[in-house]
Amino acid sequence: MVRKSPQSAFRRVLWERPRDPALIGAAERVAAGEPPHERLGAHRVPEGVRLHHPFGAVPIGGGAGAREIAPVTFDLRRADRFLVRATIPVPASGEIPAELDGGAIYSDAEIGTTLTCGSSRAVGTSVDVQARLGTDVLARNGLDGTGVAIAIVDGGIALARLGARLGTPPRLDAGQSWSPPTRVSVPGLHRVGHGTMCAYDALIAAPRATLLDIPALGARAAGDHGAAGTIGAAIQAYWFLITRWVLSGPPAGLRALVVSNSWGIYHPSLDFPEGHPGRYVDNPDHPFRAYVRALTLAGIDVVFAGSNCGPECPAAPCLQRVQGAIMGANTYPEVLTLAACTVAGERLGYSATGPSIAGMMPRKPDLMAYSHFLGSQSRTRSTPDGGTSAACAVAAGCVAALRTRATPAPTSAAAMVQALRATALQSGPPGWNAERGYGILQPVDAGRSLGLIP
Amino acid sequence: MGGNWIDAVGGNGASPMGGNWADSAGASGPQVFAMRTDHPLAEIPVPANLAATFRASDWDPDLLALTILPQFMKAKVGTKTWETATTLPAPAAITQPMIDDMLILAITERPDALGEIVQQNQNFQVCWLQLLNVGRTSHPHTYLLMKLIARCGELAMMMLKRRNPARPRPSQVCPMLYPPVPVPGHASYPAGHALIGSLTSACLAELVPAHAQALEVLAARVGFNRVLAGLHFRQDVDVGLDVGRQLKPFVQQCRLYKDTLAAAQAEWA
Repeated sequence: MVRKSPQSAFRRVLWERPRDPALIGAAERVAAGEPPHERLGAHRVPEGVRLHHPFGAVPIGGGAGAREIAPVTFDLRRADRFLVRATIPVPASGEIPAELDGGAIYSDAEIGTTLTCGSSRAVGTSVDVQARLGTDVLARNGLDGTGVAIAIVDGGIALARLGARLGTPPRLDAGQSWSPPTRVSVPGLHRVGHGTMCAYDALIAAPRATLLDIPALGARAAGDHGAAGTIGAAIQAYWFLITRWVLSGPPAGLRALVVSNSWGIYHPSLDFPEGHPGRYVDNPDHPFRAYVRALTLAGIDVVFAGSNCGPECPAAPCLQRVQGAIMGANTYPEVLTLAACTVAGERLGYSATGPSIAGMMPRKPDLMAYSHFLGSQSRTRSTPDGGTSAACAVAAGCVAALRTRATPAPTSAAAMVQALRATALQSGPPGWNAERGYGILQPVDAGRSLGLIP
Repeated sequence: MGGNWIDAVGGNGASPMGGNWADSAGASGPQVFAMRTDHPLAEIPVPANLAATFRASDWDPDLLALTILPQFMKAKVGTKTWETATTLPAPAAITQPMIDDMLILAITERPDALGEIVQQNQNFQVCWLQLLNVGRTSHPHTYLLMKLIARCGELAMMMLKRRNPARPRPSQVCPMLYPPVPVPGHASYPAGHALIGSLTSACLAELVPAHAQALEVLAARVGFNRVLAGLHFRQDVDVGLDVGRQLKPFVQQCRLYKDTLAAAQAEWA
């Protein structure tokens, strides 16, 4: 008998499930970088629900809203709950259920690189950025990123292009890098683009840092044509980092990690409707935050781009929405959020101003960092490294430089954020302001405040 | 997009007739030759073959496929025809977030998909031939089978669209979606590419089981490209894919389909 259409549409979601052997097996495969299809196939779901087998399963830790983050809850052998990705039927009313079969439903919102508006010419070059940051002072004091990893959570790195631009190929640890199950290209051998730009910019202040290639934005599943990356892919990537850095300690030869995130959500319309408990953009209890907190509590620095929906020149996908434009993980209190300015110290028109979207930490961005300079030439020979993307990567490099000697034991991630805020170059009344945060990032002054530079 | 799709070597492109005729405003029309006074071939003495027949392979698969339609309309699963068995959910109310979502897709995803959008606008079945690495010459019965499927899907699509004849195309709601191909001359719900694509994939999966997953993904991809193009709402495609799969058992009831499937299976043996 033919099945009638019981619903009008379907929705891709993240779905919390109780522990079972199929989920543990799938998570084991994900952790090992192997396809989890077969293992997940044994997990039973209600009729009409389709699991995304390439996603596998990921331990959810304490889950949404957990006040305490216990790293052990991210251990697949001890986790009580897992996240899976699924397509669920949605009734004609469009109302997305808060839970299904006893498990909470969360948004798997689409995320992307922070596009910029306009095509104005570059202001200065990466040499000017080095001069403004004082990288010579950092280097003289042994702050060059040696022994520090910078995870570039983006679209993938083209190592050959970096080598050509820098003169020598930078360090990249392919073994500690992560690839989405649906990605064919391997770490360091991805197409030249935004990820390569971010890697180049992160190395400006920390030239001896070790890159980790985490192309979560290229995690498009085979049957999923509307989203190159989603927050679920970021969760997979972050869980991978937790397994390598929190559950089993730092990898050999590396003592600190900085996670650079030049991405965000363009617009609330890509998310669940307002008021849904699993929404992403304005929900501090979305499960992604638990993964971010697990990293930062372990002394790992997480740096985010603000947004390119600035009032003077919002990027096209902002659809002219410029108020409360910093959303989702980019507003978490645990992360360092960047606005963008030129090497002359002028805020760029596409750099979003605070406060953040209602419901999240309002005082974002935290800082400004340099952007819109001629650097990686990852698009054309004259296209600047731009947006809050470049600013985020430059800042991640500065943090990595400081982490060369400021190990997480005495200097927590929160202490690092505090030091950077306190030493930023302010140009108006003291304190935070909506356009510039606490001011322009000054890594040398931060190094002095941390006792790393005499 | 339906049964009159053509690939490089087949179909009826040189002699449009039947349902896909075009008037002078839309196409150049039939060719007209000047009067000729010479007839050199007639002067060559070749004996006539008085036993000649019109070979089975000479039949235009596009036009031949039309003959399945009476069978398809009468086909029953249980007590129901496809028409009585298929219930469409009510089209969702169009909201600003739906339009915003499509605008963002147009900005962020359409550039990468543009080549496929244009290629798949007409004759999108060529993608299925490409995926299976077959053609009219190499697999004539498989080719005809696809024509039969397309004709059934085309008819069902148009009859189902007439249930909501005023459902607008997204670009009629928001012209700034600016589709890169002409807006089709029928309403938006359900999506025809998705419906015919999923019916094609569901039927071909029986013929080439090893390709089942790829066929399903291809149908979803072709369908979603129409959303990226600004031609369909997401719901149009979701429902189109679902209905296409539901139509398969009715197509399977048709005698012409059964006979053609048996011949096509021999091509894959």
